[in-house]
Amino acid sequence: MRPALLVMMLLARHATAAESTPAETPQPPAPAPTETPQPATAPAASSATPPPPVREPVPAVPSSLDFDLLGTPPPPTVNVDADAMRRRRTLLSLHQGFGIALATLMAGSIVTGQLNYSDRFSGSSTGRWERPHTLLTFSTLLTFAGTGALAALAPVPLDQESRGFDRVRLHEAGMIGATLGMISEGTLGILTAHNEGRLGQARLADAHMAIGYTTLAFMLTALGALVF
Amino acid sequence: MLQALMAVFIAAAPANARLYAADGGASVLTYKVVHKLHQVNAEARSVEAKALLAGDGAVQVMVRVPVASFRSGDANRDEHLLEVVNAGAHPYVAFKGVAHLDVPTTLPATIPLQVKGELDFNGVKNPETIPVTMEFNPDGAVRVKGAFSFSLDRYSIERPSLLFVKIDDDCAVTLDLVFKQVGP
Repeated sequence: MRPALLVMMLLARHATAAESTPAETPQPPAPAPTETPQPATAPAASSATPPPPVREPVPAVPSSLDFDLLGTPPPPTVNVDADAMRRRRTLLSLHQGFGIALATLMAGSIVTGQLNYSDRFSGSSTGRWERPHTLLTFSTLLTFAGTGALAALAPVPLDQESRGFDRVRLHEAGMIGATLGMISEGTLGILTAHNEGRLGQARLADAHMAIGYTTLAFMLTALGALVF
Repeated sequence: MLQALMAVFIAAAPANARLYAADGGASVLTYKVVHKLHQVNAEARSVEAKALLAGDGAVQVMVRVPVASFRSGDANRDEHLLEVVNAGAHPYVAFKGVAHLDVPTTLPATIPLQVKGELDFNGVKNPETIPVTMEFNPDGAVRVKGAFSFSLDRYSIERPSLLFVKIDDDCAVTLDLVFKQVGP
């Protein structure tokens, strides 16, 4: 170890001599200084002239990547809980899958609802679409609840800074509208079924259909906010 | 003894080597990733960078950016980035490189340069070559502009997906760094 250090000091000394006085004959190496190290460019001690600006010491330039100009990085300002991040990713990936299933079921509910409405109020009232519509709407409601629960259960591992109105806010706003629409739809659907044969049933069915399309619009807005 | 050695090496540095540091307020680093349906652009302004220019034209440069400092305009997406790049274990992306340039004798001057080095991202180090243009200004500042791209898979980054379609493997990076001399 000691001979290696001596060789390094010899080389360093030689480089200094060659840089400053290239014509001179290299001098034998002096022993390594033992006192406190001094900066490479010490300011001249003069009371008349102001001291030069403080400069950082400049290290030698090797050709390899074995250097570190920035030193140890400061501790990160954002603390990331890796476990919570993984859990969040899993839940939100499931949320995405459930969301796609929900959109498909919702489209099925709307189509069968429209067919049922046409059959009951402007057709021969066979009731052939009533069961498919009921099955699809309950499936939609269950999937909707599951999708929302997955998003609600996803941990928020970071201290979120104020982020304004972004895509996710639009998605959330759309899904809040869709939730209100779902609740109204369920209520109106039950009311419409209980008013079978009464004069007001058609008006309830009209409202049920209008809210159904509005709910679909909210959901498409929420979905489109993330996709496009 | 170690302090004495450091003093010897510092004293041995070429007299006309210059140390530059990036102006954090004026420097920016961006990335762009592409999905089938849209593309994402994000930028970071918390850029730490230093460059050492030796008298013979040898250049060393080191750039470091906290991954949490990238902003894409969508906070949720930026959080996903922290997940996929494992920011808890590897909070920084860093590049260290070397190059050689012909030091300009007149200013202003613009010099193209290939910086060969190593990118450390997500705990994976890979060699990268970054083409840059260095603008030496009369006020002593040096503006460095460059662009390169790298494969996310090469850095073991699990590419995020939307509607079960992953983003492209290619990540395009642009840099615009303003350096000011901080050493003699």
